Amino acid sequence: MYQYDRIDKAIVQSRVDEFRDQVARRISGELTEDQFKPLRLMNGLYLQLHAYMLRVAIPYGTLSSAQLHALAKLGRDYDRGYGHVTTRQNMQFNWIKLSDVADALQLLADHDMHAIQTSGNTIRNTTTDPFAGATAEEIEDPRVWCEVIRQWSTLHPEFSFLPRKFKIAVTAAKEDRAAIQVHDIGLQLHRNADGETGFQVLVGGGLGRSPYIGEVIRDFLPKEYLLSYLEAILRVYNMHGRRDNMYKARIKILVNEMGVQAFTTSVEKAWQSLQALAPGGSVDLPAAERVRIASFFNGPDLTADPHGEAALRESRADHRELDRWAGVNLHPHKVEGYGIVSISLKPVGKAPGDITSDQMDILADLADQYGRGEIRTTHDQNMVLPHVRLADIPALYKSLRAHDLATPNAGRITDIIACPGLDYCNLANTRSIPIANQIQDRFNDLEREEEIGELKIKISGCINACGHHHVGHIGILGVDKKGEEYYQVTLGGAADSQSAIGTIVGRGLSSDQVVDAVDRMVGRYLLLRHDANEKFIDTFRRLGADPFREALYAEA
Amino acid sequence: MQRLKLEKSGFVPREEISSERVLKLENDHDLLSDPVNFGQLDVILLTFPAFKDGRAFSQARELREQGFHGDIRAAGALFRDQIGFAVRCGFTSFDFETSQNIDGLWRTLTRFTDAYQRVGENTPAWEVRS
Repeated sequence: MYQYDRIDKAIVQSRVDEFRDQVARRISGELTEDQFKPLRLMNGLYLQLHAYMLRVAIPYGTLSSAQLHALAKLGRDYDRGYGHVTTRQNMQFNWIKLSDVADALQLLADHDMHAIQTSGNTIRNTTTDPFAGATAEEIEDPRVWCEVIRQWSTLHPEFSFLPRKFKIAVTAAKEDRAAIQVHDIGLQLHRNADGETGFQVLVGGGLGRSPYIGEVIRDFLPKEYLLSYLEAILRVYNMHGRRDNMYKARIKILVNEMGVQAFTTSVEKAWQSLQALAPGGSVDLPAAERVRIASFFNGPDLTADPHGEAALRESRADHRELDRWAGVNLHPHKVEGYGIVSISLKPVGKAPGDITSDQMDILADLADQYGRGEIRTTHDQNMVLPHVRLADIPALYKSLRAHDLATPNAGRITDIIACPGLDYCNLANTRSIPIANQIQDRFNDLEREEEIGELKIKISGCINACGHHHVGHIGILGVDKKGEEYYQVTLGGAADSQSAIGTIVGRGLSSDQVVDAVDRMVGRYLLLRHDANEKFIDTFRRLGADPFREALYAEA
Repeated sequence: MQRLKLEKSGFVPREEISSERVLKLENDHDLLSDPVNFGQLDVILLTFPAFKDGRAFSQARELREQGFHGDIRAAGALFRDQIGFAVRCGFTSFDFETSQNIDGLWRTLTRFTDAYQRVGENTPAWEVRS
C-alpha cells in the first residue's frame, strides 16, 4: 500500500498544526462559530445531537494493521471504545471532545492518516472496490488512481469552497462494489477497442432528496489525462453549481438543469483550455509520478497454493458452522489457494458498522498473522481481509468467532446498511438502528437466511438518505408524521453495475408494521422466484412492484 | 475595510491609487465562455459575497491561465484561513471586509511548504519528488 514520503507527512502535519491553532482562535473568540464551522468540517469534525463526531478518512478503504491499531487507540483514548464504519469507507467516532480533537488528529498523523475533507463542501474521500488488488475481476488496481486523486484533491486551492460536497468513486471490476453510479463522479476503468485502459466517466449520480443515476459524459478517457479532466468537471461545477439552495447545489442538479449534452460541452471546453497549458503548465501527473504511485500497489508477493482449496474443503466438510460462514463470507482471490474474507460488522442486535477498539486490535493482529497486514473497509459498512491463504481459513474463523467477528451474513438480509439515525444524528427524523435490529432479529435463522440468499436492505432515518435506501433492494426511509415515526418502503433499488433508484410503493408504515411487511414481501419472493438461483432483485426486475406491493400491505 | 497587498516578505497596507485602471468582475462571470480584454487593466477585482462562495477562486485561476499578469484583488468576506487558497489561485491584493491580523495572515499563508497540485507558479509535489 501507499507509503507517505516527506511531502505527504509535512502536509498532514501542517494541517494538524493549523487545526490546533484554529481551535485556539475559536476559543479566544477571534473566530466566530460561523467561520469556525467550515474549518472544522474540512477536518472532519461535526457537531451532532449529543457530542462532536470525528470522521477519519480511510483513503479508498485501505488500512495497514498498524493504522487499525491506531484507530483502536483513538477509540479507546478519545471516544467510548468503538468506531463506526461508514458507507464511504471512513470510520467515525461519535463522542469526541473538542479539546481532544487536535491530539486525536496528531495520533492519526503519526500513523499517516488524517481527517482532511471528510466533511464540508469539498472533494471527499475517494472510494473504491474493497476487493481491489485481490480480485481476478479487475483489469488493474483502481487504488493507484484513488491515491492520485487523494493527493490532487487534498487542499486543492480552487475547489475547497464548492457549492456542496463532492464524492468520487473508482472501480476496475465489472461487478461494481463501490456504487460508482451514485457518486458525483464515477470512474470505471475499462479497455477500449485497442486494448488500452482508460476511464469511462460518469457524472451527476447521487442519493439524498433527489436521487439520480450518473450519466456517462465520456466513454474513454486516457489515464494520463485524469487530473486535467477532473479539474475541468470541477471548474464547471464550481462556477455554475447552484449556491442559492443547498438542496439543489449538488452537481446532479446542475447536470440535470443544463442537460447532459451542454454540460459535457462545457467540460470538454474547459479541458481543452487546461490542456493548452501543457507541457510546462500541465496539471496532469507526469509518467514518472504515476509509476512511483503505482509501485506501492504491486500487492503482496503471494505464492500459489495448489493444495489450499482441497485442505479447506476437508475442514469445511467436518465443521458445519465454518462451512456456512465460508459459504457466505469467503470470496475468490486472483491467486490460487487464497481467498478474500468479509468481516461482517452486522451481528444481530448491534448498530450496523460498529466495531469496538478491542475488536480492531484483534482484527489487526489477525491481519498480521493471516492476511499480510492489510485490512479494508467496505461501502456495506463491513471490513475485509483481502489476502488470506485458504489453508488458514479454519484457524482465522475460530479466532474471529471468539470475538464476535464471524457473523455469516455478508450480502444477506441481515447485512443491513443503516444510517446512525435519531440515536446520534441531528438531521434524522426517525431511528434507524432499532429498525435494522428488529429486521435482523426476525430473520435471525441461518437456514432461512440461506434460503433467501442475497437481499440488500438499506435504511435511512431521513430524506438525506445516508443509509442509501434509494438503492436498497428493499429500502426503508424514516419519516416524521406529526411526531410519530413512519417508514416508507422502496423496492428494486440497486447500487451495482445495474444501478437503479427504488420505487416508492405506497403509504408509510409504523415501526410495528414494517418488520411484518418486510417479512411478507420476502415470503412472496420465495413463492414467486423461478428457483433458488433467482435473487430477490432479479425476481423484482422480472415481475415489477405489483406483487410485492400487494404483499406489503396485505394484513397478516 | 482593510486594504492589503502581498509582497515577497509579507502583507503590507495598501493605499487606494486613483489612477489605477480597475475592472470589477461579477461573481458569476464565466471567464472561459466570456473572456475579458485585460490588456489595459492594472487590477481585476473579484468578490466573495460570502466566504463559502468559492467562485472567485476559479475566476482568479482562469485569469492567470489566460495570461493576466496584473493585480488580482479579492473583496468581500474572504478571511484569514482561506488566504493560502486565494494566493495560490493568483490573488495579490485584498480588500478585507473584516480586519485581519497581518502577522497571522502571513503565518497562515506560509504554514504549508508543499502542495500537491500545480496551480499558478508553485512547484507541485511531483516535481519536487522527481
